[in-house]
Amino acid sequence: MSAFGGSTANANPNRSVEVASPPSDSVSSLCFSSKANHLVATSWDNQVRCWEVQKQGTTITTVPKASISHDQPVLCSAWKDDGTTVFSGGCDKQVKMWPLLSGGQPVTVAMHDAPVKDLAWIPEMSLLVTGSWDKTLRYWDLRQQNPTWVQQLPERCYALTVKHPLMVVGTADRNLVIFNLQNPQTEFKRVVSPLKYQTRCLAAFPDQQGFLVGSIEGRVGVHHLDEAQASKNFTFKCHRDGNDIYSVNSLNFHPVHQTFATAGSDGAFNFWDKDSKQRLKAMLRCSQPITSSAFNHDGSIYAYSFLGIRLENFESAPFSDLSIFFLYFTLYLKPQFVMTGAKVLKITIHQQQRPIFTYTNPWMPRSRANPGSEQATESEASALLLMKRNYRICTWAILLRVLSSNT
Amino acid sequence: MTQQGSSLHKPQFDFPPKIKSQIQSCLRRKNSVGIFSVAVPIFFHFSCQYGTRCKFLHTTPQQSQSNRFGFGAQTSSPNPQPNPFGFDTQTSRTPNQQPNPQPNPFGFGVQSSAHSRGGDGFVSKPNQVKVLSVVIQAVDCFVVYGPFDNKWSRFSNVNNSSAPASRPANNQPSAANHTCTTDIESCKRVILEDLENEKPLWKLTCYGHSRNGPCDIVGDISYDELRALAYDDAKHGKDIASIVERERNLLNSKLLEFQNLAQKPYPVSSAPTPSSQNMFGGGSIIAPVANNGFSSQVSSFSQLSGSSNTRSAAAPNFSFGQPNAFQNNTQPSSFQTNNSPFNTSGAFGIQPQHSTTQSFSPFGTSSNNGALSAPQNSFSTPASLPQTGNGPGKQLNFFTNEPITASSAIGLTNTSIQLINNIPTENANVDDGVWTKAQWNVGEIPEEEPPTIYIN
Repeated sequence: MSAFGGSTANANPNRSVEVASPPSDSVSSLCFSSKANHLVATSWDNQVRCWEVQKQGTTITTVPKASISHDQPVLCSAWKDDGTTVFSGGCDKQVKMWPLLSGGQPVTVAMHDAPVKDLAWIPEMSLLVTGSWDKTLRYWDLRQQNPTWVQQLPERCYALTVKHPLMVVGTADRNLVIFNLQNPQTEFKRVVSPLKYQTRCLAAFPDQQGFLVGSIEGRVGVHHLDEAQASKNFTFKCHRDGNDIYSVNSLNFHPVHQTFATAGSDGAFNFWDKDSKQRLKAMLRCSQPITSSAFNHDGSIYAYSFLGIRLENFESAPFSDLSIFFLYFTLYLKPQFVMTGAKVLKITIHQQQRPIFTYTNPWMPRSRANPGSEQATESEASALLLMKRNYRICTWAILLRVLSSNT
Repeated sequence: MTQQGSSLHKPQFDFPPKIKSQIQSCLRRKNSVGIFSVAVPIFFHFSCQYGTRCKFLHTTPQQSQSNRFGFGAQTSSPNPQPNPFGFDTQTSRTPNQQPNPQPNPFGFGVQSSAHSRGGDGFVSKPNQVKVLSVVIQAVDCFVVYGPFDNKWSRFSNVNNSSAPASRPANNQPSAANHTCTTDIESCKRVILEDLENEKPLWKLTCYGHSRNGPCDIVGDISYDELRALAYDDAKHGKDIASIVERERNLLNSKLLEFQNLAQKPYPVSSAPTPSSQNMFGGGSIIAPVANNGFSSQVSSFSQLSGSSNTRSAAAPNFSFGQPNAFQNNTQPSSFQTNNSPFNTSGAFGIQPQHSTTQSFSPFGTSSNNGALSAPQNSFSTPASLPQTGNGPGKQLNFFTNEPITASSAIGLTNTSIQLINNIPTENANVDDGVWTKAQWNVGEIPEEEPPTIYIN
């Protein structure tokens, strides 16, 4: 356990904040806890480090908390769902479980025959799944020495993503193996990647309908599992600069909205929406490749790493410079909402759940509502589709509000 | 038009009453602009005053189109997906005398206004239509203007050449049936184009020219692997120069493979048959291998498989329970690559087993190994699948039998297979007599390499 200094300013083009005491070698993976703003980074200097990220309004500070070391570079990390324990695996072919919140020592819980490339904790099954370059996927019950199940893969595991019950494993030679975790002993499906080159990263849709696959050729593919939705599959190019084609190193879905971020070796990270096939926001390029990235549990902080680690706080940058995450409000999924007499009163842009811009509908029924009700918040709304004309970003916005007087 | 038979029905507007009152109150206001616009599936139940005698098509969405109304002019067009809007075309309100071929939940759209001679059910019709136009606006386009000034509408194609392309460039369905055998020219073009324009910065990669299709060049090395190896070597005292040398060799050999492919772009065909996207004329996998100057045995392999490719139509779904099938030369499905159609069968444990036969080791071996071993992965019989149900200790029960039988059926000698079979020995299961047999049955082939004396 080491002691570190305070937070530092930075010269990042995106005005992101650099963490205190960054690792001395490049970061291989980043992981936020699902319970608190604890960030864990594994790096090629054999260390696993943890910071606590504190957000005070528009500023972020990071406080280094603890670190452990492996014998060899560490490649992957995952938090347990209760936010107390970190798993980390790497070139020493082991996975260590580190109960860091309680201050415990790391314990080896998993072994492979070759470096462990990726791992994930499956809370619904209380199992740890690890993928390695020895072409196996192993499931571990932490109380036992031996793996619960060993799954053979066609090739070395390069990426792994889990969204119960969907699990997708990307291997070398462009194989993508899909598992249904309710039946983990058999592959659900095996597809060849829709991209033409090596698979680099994967991300499962939050609704488990499919997954994203990123490759080294600056392309991301969106793949749906259901054959009926196969028409919605597509690929798009990103992270290219003229003739230079960089690889997409990390794909992360925003935990709240259904948008995702890609980070690439060109030093840029972008935000996209797969349903509308739009790029929402392109951040400025940094000077080094981005190796990994992560969102925190509520999506208000985005951490990305190269040699150091930077944090992007979405509340800090001025509005015009920020990406707008929007939620689709599809009424036809919730007809009862309409029937209860919702009425458009206010259009509000939500930036990470904090209202930034409010536009009040001029034609609200004066006869019925008292003036005081206009100040009532839109807290009843469950989702928004945003519309905005004053700024150069236009999206449709509807905020529905249930009026008690309008039953 | 006479009205007999069914009586005049009052159309029932199935809006929920609450929203109906809301909408009407909005409509009374002059300034009401449809900021209500959302996607709402509203299914209206209308009864036509002419009933069965109406000359227009009475259909509701999701119903099969049966023309009950006796008019030949009413073609029953197939109803596409349920249209949540139900009638977005109706709001145009053009009086329309000819039969409306589109499925029309109204039964007759606006034509009713022509018929509505005071039928009190239709009094509110114009209003209703107006309501609909207010309420139902397909909100599915939005324009994003960002700092790069990419002016996007949902399907626009405007982009700045300097900015990275934000538009999704490809929307090929995943079920693209790529028939390289029939259209090899276009595949070749694709390969050449890719290798010309779309060269990623990381060179040590596999490549496949068709999406969801097998790899044309196998042999992937990821950044982390190379780096891990370098770190490892450095730790063991290897000097940096030799590490760099080794990596450079790797890079050069891979670049050579790509060059060869560019010069002789024989694509690996995926499905010779249109029906099965993932069955593979894997025979032509061998073709690029042949380009690499592989042994003559393999060339014969490719010729053989080339011919067998055309017959692959016969066997898109070979069943796993028949190892004998592999004896047959004309089973090109035996060369299948890792695409698997076997979603349904529990025999999925198959490929997991064969991963070990894919002997490609990342460092230094040529892609041939991968190419040849890839087809071999596909065979197994579920019966001989020991994986399922085994305890943890037994997972590594590979069997390499079928590939060998298949290849022997194809004419490859045993030795050539063994040359590329670099499986690390897992079980001490040595019985050297096995290697002298001409043909193996299922489960007989040991996992480790044969002793060198058997390798001619």
